Amino acid sequence: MKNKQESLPADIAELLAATPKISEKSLSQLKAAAEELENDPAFQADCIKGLFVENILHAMEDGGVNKNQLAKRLKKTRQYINNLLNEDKRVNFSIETLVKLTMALDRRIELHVLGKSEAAHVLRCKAPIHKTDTSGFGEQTTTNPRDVVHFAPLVFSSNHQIDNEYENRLSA
Amino acid sequence: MKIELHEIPGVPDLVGNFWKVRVLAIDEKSPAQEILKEWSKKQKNDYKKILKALRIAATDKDCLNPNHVKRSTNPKHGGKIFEARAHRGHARLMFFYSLKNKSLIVCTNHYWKGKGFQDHAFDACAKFQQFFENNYAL
Repeated sequence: MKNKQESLPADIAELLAATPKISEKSLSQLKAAAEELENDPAFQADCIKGLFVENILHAMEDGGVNKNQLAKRLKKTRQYINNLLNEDKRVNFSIETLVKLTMALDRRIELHVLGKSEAAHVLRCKAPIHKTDTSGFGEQTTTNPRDVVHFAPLVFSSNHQIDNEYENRLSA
Repeated sequence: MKIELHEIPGVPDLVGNFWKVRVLAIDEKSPAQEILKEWSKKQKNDYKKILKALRIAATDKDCLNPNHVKRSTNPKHGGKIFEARAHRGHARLMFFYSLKNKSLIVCTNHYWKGKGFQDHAFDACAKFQQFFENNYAL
């Protein structure tokens, strides 16, 4: 901690004065609300949809592909792409749609069904991973069109396992 | 003054995420956490959308979807102040990115679309950011 702390600007001090202190009760209310969402399939699906769209936006940026070009590749209208990227309810986010979209961006899609305490991690590195994985994690490496990024989807059952495997791969 | 960062229930630190999402608390008071509690009770749809936006923002260095994250365009904020948005809703949660200690998204205050001024909320977040960066002890 610095020896002398700045004082808060007046409007911020005012905002804080109007805010109640964090209590155990309010924390447990938030935890209960979060737990409810954890068990809400509609919320979970919505998050996955949002993450998928975010991944597509990154892939478009990486590949220098705009919405018009993507529409052309998919033989769809620009409006369809807009609806899709807006997670519009009129767009059917079927597996087929997801696969077509990723293929149009020279990517591929993988789905993993995980245990509640498991985590999946996609390791992206600039250098190719040559080492064959014999630990049973089922490493898969693919080459994208630019031949620089390799994807190795991994599934782990504990953070400790992730740390070890991550270190191994980085040093490989 | 005690400056702390608290986890947000429902926005876990997932393996592979670029950022950890936190609320800023000063002297055990957190406007961001308080409003999340309010929304979780009274504005459930917007609460869900904000949590979704934060989960997406946490995954990668930049969130490219303007439906979920928007940067303040006020030059005074230097492009460093953002809002997590409830898409097609009213709730907005102001935040900044910080590389202090670890990669953090720090949520500070809120704005409800249609009530008050968005720029004031961005201003408040910028002040929180400055205070945090100058005073938070590693």
